[in-house]
Amino acid sequence: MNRKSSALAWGLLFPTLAVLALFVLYPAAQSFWLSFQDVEPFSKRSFFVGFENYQVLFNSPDYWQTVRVTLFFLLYTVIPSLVISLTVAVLLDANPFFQNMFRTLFLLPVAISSSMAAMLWIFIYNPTAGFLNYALDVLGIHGPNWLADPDWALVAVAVATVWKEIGFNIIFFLAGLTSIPLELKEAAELDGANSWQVFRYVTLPLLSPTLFFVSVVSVINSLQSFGQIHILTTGGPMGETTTLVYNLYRDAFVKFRTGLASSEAVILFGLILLATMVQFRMAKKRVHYG
Amino acid sequence: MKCLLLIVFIQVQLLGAPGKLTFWHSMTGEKGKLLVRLVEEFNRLPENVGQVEVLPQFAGSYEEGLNKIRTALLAKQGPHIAQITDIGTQVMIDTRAVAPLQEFIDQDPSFPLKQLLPPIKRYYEVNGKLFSLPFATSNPILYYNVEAFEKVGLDRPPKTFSELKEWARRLTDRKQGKTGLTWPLTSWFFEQFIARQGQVLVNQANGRQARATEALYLTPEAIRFATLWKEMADEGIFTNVGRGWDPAEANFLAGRSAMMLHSTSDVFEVVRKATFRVSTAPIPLADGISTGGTVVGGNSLWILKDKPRTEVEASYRFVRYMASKDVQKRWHMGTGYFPIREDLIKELEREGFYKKFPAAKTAIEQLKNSAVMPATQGALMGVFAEARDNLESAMERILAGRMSVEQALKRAKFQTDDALRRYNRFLEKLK
Repeated sequence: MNRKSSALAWGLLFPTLAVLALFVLYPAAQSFWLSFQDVEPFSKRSFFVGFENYQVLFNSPDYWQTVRVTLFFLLYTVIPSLVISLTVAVLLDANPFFQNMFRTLFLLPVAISSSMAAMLWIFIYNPTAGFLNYALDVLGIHGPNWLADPDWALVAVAVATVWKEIGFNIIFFLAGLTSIPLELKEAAELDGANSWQVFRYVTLPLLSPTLFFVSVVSVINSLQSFGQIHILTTGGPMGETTTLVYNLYRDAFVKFRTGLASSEAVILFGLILLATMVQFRMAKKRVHYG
Repeated sequence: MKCLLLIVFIQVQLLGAPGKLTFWHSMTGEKGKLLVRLVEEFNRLPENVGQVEVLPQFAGSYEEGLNKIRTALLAKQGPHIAQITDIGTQVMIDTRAVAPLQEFIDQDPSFPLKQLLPPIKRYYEVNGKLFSLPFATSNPILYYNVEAFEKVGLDRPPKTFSELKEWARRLTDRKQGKTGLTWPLTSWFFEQFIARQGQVLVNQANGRQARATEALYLTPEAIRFATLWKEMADEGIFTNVGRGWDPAEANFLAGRSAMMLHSTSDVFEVVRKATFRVSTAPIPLADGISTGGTVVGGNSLWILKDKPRTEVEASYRFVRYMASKDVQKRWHMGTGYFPIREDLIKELEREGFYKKFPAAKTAIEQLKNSAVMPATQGALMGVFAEARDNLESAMERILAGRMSVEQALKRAKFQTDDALRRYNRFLEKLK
């Protein structure tokens, strides 16, 4: 690359880099610095406390509870969301006739703002007047108080999250599926493969880049979930739906412990980085790019 | 030339424009509507038209309102006047962004300081100084369904913990899914029942002598109340409706619990909405303990100082208006928060108001009969909101059987002590 085009490249990149630096890199660096400080609740004055914030977190049984809740939330959202959206996408791909209508139907939740969606779920989950328990009553089952029951609240929030996310995933899977050449599937069929074998040995490997992308995005989204938790349960009952992000919000904006919240942000950053690195490591072996 | 004239005209218009004062409040429903009406009437007073206009803005719940103002102060964008929950008193003072009401009162002999009910004044005074105007004051009381009482042959409300339990047991009808008692899962009742037994909530005389450093959640008084609560829930004679104030009221009004502990602030609404006869009584005492009393609850109006002098003075005039007899009378009769003025109570008694609504009198009597001591003066701490959250999550764990009373209270004490330690460290380090 000659000098001129390199200058042009930097020039074109500059606006993006400037915005990123101002709104992402600078706050991130500040969080890192603040995680070693204790910040006064009424001003921005602070003083150095070393690793105290981290020590407080690691010694707190509550923080370990939020770690556990976050991992379960990850499990309850990412896997069902991937399985459901992939299944729906494959079915839609095989039935082009229904595709447009169902694609729109599944995408609708994505278009609704997450707080509106959560409000709808509050009505559905209402223990006495909600639709879910009404439907269960018809089947002769006495439904729990979904959002107030410590054993069910996290599942309830996860269901609302999955419902909201599958539409987005389906679009990606459909795009991936359409780009797979039909000849390959036909060839496999001619060789005597049944439809499961076609899916397992032809479609899935060719879809692996999309699957990889969607799973990385899903994990990150799940780790950063906030709106639905804030509206459905505000982290309760008994902290059973308080995830790392929700705890961070409460420490920063309810308890005004900016230093402590910053160290939680750093831990969360590390966790997301770790999860993504593990996914990339696995991808090296399994993902086939064309 | 025309242009210039226009500019001059606009300038004059701007100079003559009324000073707009923002007023953040946390009142919803009928209370919110009444509050807005009172503000509008202030704006329509002849001396204010074209001069001052107060703009009421809803700032969310008490907790949200307190958080919002703290965030706004960091950006120096606070309102002129703010309605803040009782427990925000210490933290509001510590922001150093408020203009203490006392400074205005000292300059203004027309302020009705002498009329302020002593227990209310004692609650809101810090180091002998009144920082904010106690606007809406409340107390916990026992509401009961008179018809349900008659059905099981009870002719008076319970007076002690053991009677409360006994009454609740008799009022429980398992077949019909009815229990004897309910109240919202909030730390407020915990605090009130500790004070009712004459015990302080935090050390240093409830944080009134010096900064509190320790939460006293493991005193016999605290354990006694938590245990009573737990035993009644386990026996199925108490309905736990979780956090939030409305579910308990809905439960009581639907006739599913015959007794309810709630704030006086809803007394008129409850009496009006109920399809059965409702009566009220003071909260029960622990057996054999008659010292102590209840603590003032509610909210107060704060004036913020980082504004132009004229606007701050106008804010004070608004606050003084909210303390006037007429406003307090309508506020009391429209909500159930009790009057802050002694002359008003006397006036209402003369007019026979409490003969017509004896339910509204309970809280006033209860507060007047409370012993004067640090326990009933109420606790002061900068981390009160957090302390409440800790206690509430402890109670949730106790009621769900996940922790014993001692375990959960110990945990809440540990969390609150740590918050106090950190808070106090700032005050030392960053003077």
